[in-house]
Amino acid sequence: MLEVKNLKAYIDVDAGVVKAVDDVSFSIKAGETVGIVGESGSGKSVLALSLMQLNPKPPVFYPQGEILFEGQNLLTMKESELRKIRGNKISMIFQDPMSSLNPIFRIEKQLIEAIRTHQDLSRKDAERKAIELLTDVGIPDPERRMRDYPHQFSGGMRQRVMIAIALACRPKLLIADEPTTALDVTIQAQILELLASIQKKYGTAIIIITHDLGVVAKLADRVMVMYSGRIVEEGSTADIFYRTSMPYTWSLLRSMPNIGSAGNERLVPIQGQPPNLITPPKGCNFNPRCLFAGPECLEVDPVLAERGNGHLAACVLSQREFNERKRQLEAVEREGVRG
Amino acid sequence: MFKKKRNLLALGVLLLVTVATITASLWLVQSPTYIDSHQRLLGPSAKHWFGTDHFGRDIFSRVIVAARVSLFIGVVVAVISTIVGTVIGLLSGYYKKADFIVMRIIDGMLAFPALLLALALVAALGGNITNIIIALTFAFFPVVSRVVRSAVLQIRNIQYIEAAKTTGVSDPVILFQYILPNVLSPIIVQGTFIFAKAILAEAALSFLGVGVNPTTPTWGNMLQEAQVYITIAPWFSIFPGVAIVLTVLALNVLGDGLRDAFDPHAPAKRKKRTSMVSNGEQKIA
Repeated sequence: MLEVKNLKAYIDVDAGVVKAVDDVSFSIKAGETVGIVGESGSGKSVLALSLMQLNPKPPVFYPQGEILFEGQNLLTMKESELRKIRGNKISMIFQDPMSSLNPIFRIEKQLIEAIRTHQDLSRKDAERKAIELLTDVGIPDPERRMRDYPHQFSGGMRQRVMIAIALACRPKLLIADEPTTALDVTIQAQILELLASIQKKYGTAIIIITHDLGVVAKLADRVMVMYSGRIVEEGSTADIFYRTSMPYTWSLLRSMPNIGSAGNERLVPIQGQPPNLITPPKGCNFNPRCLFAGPECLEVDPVLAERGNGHLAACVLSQREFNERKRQLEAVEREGVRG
Repeated sequence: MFKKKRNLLALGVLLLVTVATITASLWLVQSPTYIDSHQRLLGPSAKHWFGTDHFGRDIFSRVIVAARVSLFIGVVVAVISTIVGTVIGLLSGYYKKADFIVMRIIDGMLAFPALLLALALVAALGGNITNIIIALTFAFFPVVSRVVRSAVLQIRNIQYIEAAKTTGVSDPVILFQYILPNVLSPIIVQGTFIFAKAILAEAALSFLGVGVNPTTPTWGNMLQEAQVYITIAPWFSIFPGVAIVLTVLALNVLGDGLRDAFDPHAPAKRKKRTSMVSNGEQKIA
């Protein structure tokens, strides 16, 4: 349904050109949930906004690539046609539900407006539909709550309203840009459950962008790990978590607390900073921070290569070499802890 | 905001002046243009409350009628420059390309003191009400556009604007339905201040002799005529002066009150008795 081919999205700044999205390709099937994971500045959000064609131009430009949505290239589409897709076939929810709703209008007006932008419905019908949507996203007493202003809702409830607005036209694709980051943990779980149930009911494909691997583990069928504007590993959620093939993904997983562990396990942060995307390092972008980097990594810029069954990784190490190095390192670290 | 006595008083003064000047022809005893050469430069009395001028005309009648021109100019200038300034501010705050060029022109206009700019324009165009309105509009709209632009720059980066874009809303709709209502409060406040400033400016222009035709009574014209007699007939200057001060002061107080009412960070003590949250909800709902 959505196919991104060799997409580059660069940002023109005073100091040079930031390669925010650099040669990214992937595809998403109808009804699928795909997680995009990466740290701040890895290009997740620029990628997401590229799919909506909502990056400010300038400074963002697209030197190369195609974004095919149902066979049409969004990059060459006219603004008026894009508007027919936005909110109708592709919609988006944001990180901060506190500022995503217009504070001076009742949510009724905002919902009905979202519905009537793309659908030829009378006010009455739109209102009925709005109530239906609010019920779907789990807002109790929707007839009354519709007449409330955004400030009368809690953060979690506002995110539900945002989801209702995003679903107003039953989009084919929902992009969720860090949908739970600003919410507290119990609410996070509720929102994730809501997204899962909505997917079941509406059959919407979801792209979930996050730096929280827990969110991805719960929701996603497939995961793409982004680092410095590129996809460095891609595979089923099980592949990413249990058959990690790229040192960056592995480092990310190690830096996360694990409920199942004995409790005395140390978290290992990733050393250093994300690379400067104006002048990326020679060779592999991750080499300055990689625990396994060898001389080859300074020379070769690895491309995504098949690791079996749709699992792709960009690393010069083969799966066997990587597992071997991992074992060695973990053995050394255990010694260190004991000594 | 009208719980506060000061604001209520200001509103009262303005209403009184407005009603008095509009209905003046119905109740004024003496015509403001009636000349009585035997009654020149008389002090305030029961017959002539504010005294008479150098042609023996009743100053009270003239002050009341003069308010018509002054308020008319004030209102029209306030409305036009607010609208023009708002449109320019909205566009330049939203479209970055237009912003640079437009704001440099505005900077150029702001470089002149408002009154000087108006003075030059009226001197060039000739002194009648239309030209004064044009000149004062040119003098005041740059300020509005600056204020609106800065408010727009703040609002346009808040997520609900981006969220609106993702639902496929077009630019004009975003500008006028999403951004404009959110920047309305500084616009209204600026409008009242411009109203006050325009009345002052009109008086200043008339006083300097480039304003409204001297045969039309305006507060500025009256002051200009009175300056010669200020030592022998002080009431001639005082009453038009007081009229200007009261009106402008009332407008400024009202503007301040509006600003406080719109300001969410204003001290909580203003919100009486009920708690802040519930009061805020009531106000908005």
